[in-house]
Amino acid sequence: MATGSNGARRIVSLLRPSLVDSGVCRSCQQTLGRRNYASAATEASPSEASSTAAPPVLKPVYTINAGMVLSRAPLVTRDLEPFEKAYHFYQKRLNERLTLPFTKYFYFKRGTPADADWKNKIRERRTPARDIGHYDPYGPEAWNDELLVGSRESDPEYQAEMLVQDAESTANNTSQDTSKREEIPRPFPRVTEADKKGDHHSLNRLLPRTLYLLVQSNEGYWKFPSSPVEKDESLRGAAERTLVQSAGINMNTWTVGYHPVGHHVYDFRHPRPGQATGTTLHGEKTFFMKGRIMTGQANLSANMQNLKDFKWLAKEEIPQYVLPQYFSNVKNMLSDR
Amino acid sequence: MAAREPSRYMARALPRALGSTARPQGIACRRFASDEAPARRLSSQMDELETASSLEGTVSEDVAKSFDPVAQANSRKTQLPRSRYQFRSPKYYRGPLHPHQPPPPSDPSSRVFVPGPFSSPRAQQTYTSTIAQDILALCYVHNPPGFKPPPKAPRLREWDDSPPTIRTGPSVDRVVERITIHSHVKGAIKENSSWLHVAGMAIQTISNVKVTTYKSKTSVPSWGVVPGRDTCAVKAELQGENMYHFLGKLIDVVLPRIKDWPGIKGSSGDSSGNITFGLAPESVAMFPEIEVNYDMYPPKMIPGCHITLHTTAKADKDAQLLLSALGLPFYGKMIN
Amino acid sequence: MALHNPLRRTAATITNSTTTSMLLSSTPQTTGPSTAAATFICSQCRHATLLRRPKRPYTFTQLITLSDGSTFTHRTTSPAPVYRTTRDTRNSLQWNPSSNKLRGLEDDEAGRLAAFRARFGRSWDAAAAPPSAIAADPKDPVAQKAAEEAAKAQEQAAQEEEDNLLDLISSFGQEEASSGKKKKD
Repeated sequence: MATGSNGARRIVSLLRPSLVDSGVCRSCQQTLGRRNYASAATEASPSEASSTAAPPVLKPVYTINAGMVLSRAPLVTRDLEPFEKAYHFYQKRLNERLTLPFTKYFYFKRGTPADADWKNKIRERRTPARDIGHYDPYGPEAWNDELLVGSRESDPEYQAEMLVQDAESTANNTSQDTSKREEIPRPFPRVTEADKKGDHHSLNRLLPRTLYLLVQSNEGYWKFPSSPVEKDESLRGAAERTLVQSAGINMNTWTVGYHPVGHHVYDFRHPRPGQATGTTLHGEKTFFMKGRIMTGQANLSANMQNLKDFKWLAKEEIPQYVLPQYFSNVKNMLSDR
Repeated sequence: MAAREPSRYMARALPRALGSTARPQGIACRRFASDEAPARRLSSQMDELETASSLEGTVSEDVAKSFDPVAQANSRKTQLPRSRYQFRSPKYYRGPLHPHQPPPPSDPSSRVFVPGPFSSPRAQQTYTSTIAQDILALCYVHNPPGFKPPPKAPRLREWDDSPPTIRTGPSVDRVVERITIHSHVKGAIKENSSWLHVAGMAIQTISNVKVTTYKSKTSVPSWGVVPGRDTCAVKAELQGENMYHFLGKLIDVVLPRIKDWPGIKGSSGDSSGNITFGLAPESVAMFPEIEVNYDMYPPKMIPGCHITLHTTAKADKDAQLLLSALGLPFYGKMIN
Repeated sequence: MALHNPLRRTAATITNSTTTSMLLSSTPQTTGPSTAAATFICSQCRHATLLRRPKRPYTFTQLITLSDGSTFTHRTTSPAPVYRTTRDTRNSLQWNPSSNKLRGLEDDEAGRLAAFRARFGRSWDAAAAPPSAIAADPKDPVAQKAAEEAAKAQEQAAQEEEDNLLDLISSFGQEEASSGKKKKD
């Protein structure tokens, strides 16, 4: 075994390229290899590179942009899948048979109105739980624990409604004056006005989803707010400046960390001459910082980035607006929910 | 293990050396006639899988209306013998060779089956949708290619053969693993066991979990504690759904109601990512579960408790970041 | 040893339950020959491990309504269907440190503080409050009106004070200026 493994190790060491270090991960190894090819192909300065022994210095042939992926976190819990609802419901009915029974006299004193009310309700629904429908866990029909087609018992909205109705009826049955009916406010709807109107400017749309700020340039392209990094400016500083210059100062935002979460490389069809003398720009690279909006709203009225419109979009809506290549570069940094 | 490692290198290095193309993946994409054999095609196996969910299938109205399982069962003339359709798990596990084996614990007919989850906890959803990715972006450390981190002495001793118990290497994976609620009941030692009953009931009520009792291991003469004689503590350990519900309830409902609560002390923690804080008896009484029948508990016997949040973070600093993102404030000097 | 350890534990539990209670399950540490020797129902045997049913308290689904109206459900042992909070993360100062309303700055809805200030000025305030805090509550017309009055009164008081000072300074030989000011008053 020892000789075999030694032999294998020797073969591996022979096969392994000399450039590659075992401490470097695979993706970085590939990047290193690619960088060598790229530096040769872009003919950055072959004479300089050959004359000096130092590693070849690439000219800044790309404009470096800093972008801000400003997102609003989900405000409500997500909508459950039908399978999840069915699963939770089934587990609840199983649990009725398997937990310890509810200790009624620990919570309701004998002879009180609350106790009488509780007894009435138990007689009606056969089980202490309010959200599993009509089900008797210890009766002869306890096996009949599956929901029929079209029943709403597994729906969280229905369960919340049942809870509120139960609380209302308890309050009405146990209170002294019968003239006044107790009204308990229902949970707010999960669909807002902005959803119904399709208002993409509002931050109150699509509450269970993460929303991202996209801006439209005067040429008509949609993108995340981004602009070239200026001299002596960090990536994060540039991203924050970009956001202020494009969407105004009326937003309370938080930039998450100092590292970009994604990047997008755009190659020009023909290299263009840059501002600095003697450089030709091959394209632009945009590095995206992650940001969260806490309060406020975007306002493009005073923008300095030639923008004309903005929208708050969820991940699936973004490909309708941006170019396919742009989306394929940014999609992995966007949250699925 | 030692023999497996070079072979792994072999598997990785061989195609790289032998393949003439720059992309060795091309080899795998090439198809041969033998691949087309029906037994090896993946699609033939996929055909057996149902593509549509049973939840989305459409049933005609009248069929759905007329289906009544109870009526069907009642109208049946002959019943199967009970043993044919009602499996009972054996009460004892009698070893792997016994003919009557208990079903696995995940089977609902098993005696040790625990149903759940019953809901998708809100705190967990917040964690997965918002906090986890923010922590990833905040704490990501990029090492350029060829970078070797300086060698660091391990915090604990080396472990030789068994699976590693020390957590090594940088990671941004920080989750609350479990929560322990522990309560030392002084009255159970000094007076009688009723203190222990009340403490156990209170802790069980706020945590949805049955508590475990503990006896003291050490002797403390000034408290009158004798090892092994007095049951002096109750503990509940929460995991999964119960843990997230408890965390949400604690953060959103209970802690804001405590008067002048400054937060968790910044120096709390065991320096490997587990943060502990205490709740006074009057704070424990503020849980909605105890509040609903407060008069059933003798007021002086309601216990205080220590709550330990066990996280997968390796340092207290990381655990503090996670917990403050979840909504637990910290105060004072942060000590790692 | 590992196999029949759980059984020892069952023995310990049953002896314990006579002294403690049914709701407390056993402690893993209590294995001793003295407790195991006690009489109990399930006889210990080496070749069988009792599969104990896990004991869990009954849990309900409860709807919690926070003070700002947002709701969520959770599993709890409490039988109350709905729980409404009065103080939670939405209206607690610890979780909203930048909220002026929660810090109690200019939070007099009855306008008594504003009335006091209208009468006696702001020199009684503990610390110099920012001037913008006066118009903190634009929704409340009473408070706003009172605040306006307070501001006006304060301005007037400042004017008077200035006049008095000017009088003191200019009391010597400049009667016409002071008399003009007196007339204006």
